[in-house]
Amino acid sequence: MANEKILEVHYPAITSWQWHATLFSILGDDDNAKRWIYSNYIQLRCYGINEIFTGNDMLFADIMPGSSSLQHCPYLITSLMTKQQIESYTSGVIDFIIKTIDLDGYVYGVFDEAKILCDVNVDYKFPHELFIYGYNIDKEIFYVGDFTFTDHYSYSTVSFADVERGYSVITASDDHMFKDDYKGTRGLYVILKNTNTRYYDLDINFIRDTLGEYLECKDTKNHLRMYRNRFNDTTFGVNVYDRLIETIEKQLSGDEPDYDIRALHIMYDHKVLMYERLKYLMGNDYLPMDQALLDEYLKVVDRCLTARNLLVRISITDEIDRVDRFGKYLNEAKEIEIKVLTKVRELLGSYEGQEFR
Amino acid sequence: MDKEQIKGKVLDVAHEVMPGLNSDVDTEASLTDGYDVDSVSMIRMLVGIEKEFGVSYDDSELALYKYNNFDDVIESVEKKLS
Repeated sequence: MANEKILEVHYPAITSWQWHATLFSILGDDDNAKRWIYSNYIQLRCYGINEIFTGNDMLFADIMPGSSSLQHCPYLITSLMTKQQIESYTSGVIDFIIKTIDLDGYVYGVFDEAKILCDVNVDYKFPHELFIYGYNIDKEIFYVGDFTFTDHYSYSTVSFADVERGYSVITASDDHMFKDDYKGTRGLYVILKNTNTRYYDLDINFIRDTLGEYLECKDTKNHLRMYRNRFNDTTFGVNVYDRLIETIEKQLSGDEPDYDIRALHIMYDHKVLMYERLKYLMGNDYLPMDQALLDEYLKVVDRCLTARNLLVRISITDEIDRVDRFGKYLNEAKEIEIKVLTKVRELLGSYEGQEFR
Repeated sequence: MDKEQIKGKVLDVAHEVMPGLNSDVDTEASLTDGYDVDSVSMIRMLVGIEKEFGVSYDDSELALYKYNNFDDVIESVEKKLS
């Protein structure tokens, strides 16, 4: 066992949810992984939930395959380890994490981050996913990726003692990650990078069809039932723009305005990834190079970023009277995006050079 | 107001928004790599500048990527004041 081992991570291209930040941290710029990422991560969906910490109404938006991505990506080998297995195989969670990292495995799971953030004992829990990618035995620290420690996704360190405390108090009902996998227990994910062999080629037909489902707001979960899905109240595709505008107006109209930017952030990340996808398709001759089309899509990225930044601004200044601007920015983004992606879909329809394995 | 005065006030706002910022700021260094400025702290800084100088930033001017370093922020204030 080495004194220190830190597995490779790359600051993720999209950071809106911890599962995406984890997948992109591990896979980085890998060419094989890109073929899977750009073939997926197209459809957008949202639905109303009660926020797990506050119980408040929240619009949960995500890019499909959502949090199922860690288990379904062919370029990761993800094992679900129950608490019983962890305790049986090793002398405890610290030992388990170190041994996993020694075998080049990343660890991902729900920990009570109130135990990590607070020096004193607090009577509440803050169950949140922590991504662990390294350790130092002399310093008794783990290297982790998370949103909790700064205002944005960052890599940091957490002591062995805090990780142990944060792990020990989480029950099966606190472990929303295992609960979402329909497992009535708790545990951790062990994730190995699996990028050496090309298992999955860019799937032009799937991209074209999913773009169609995105533009036509079709219920994509019908043929993606292996992913985590909610079966009611779900809005798909470009209709997410409308639901988002409606939600923001509602969020800001109450006596106590809610400045939750998460749905706007995933919207922005979706556009960033779509822009990268278009560049990739053009750069690899799946689409003809068309700078004007890229520039047009960049306007969509910019409008969504402007909308997100506006909500951050309002959260600082309380300028609620600016709320009508969200509709302007998001409707403009929607209109331009429909035009660009409709053209992309048509162009992909005439692509005939693909070879699938 | 000359450029040095603008620079001094912009850095005062920056220190107020980001208390961890060191006193000897290199205005040519990258905001993100050199000073760990993120989109939220950038917007806080621009809102502080609006109050300090009586200027206003359009919503589209709030994006972090539009400013590589503190010199770009100072230049944006100069343009708004001219």
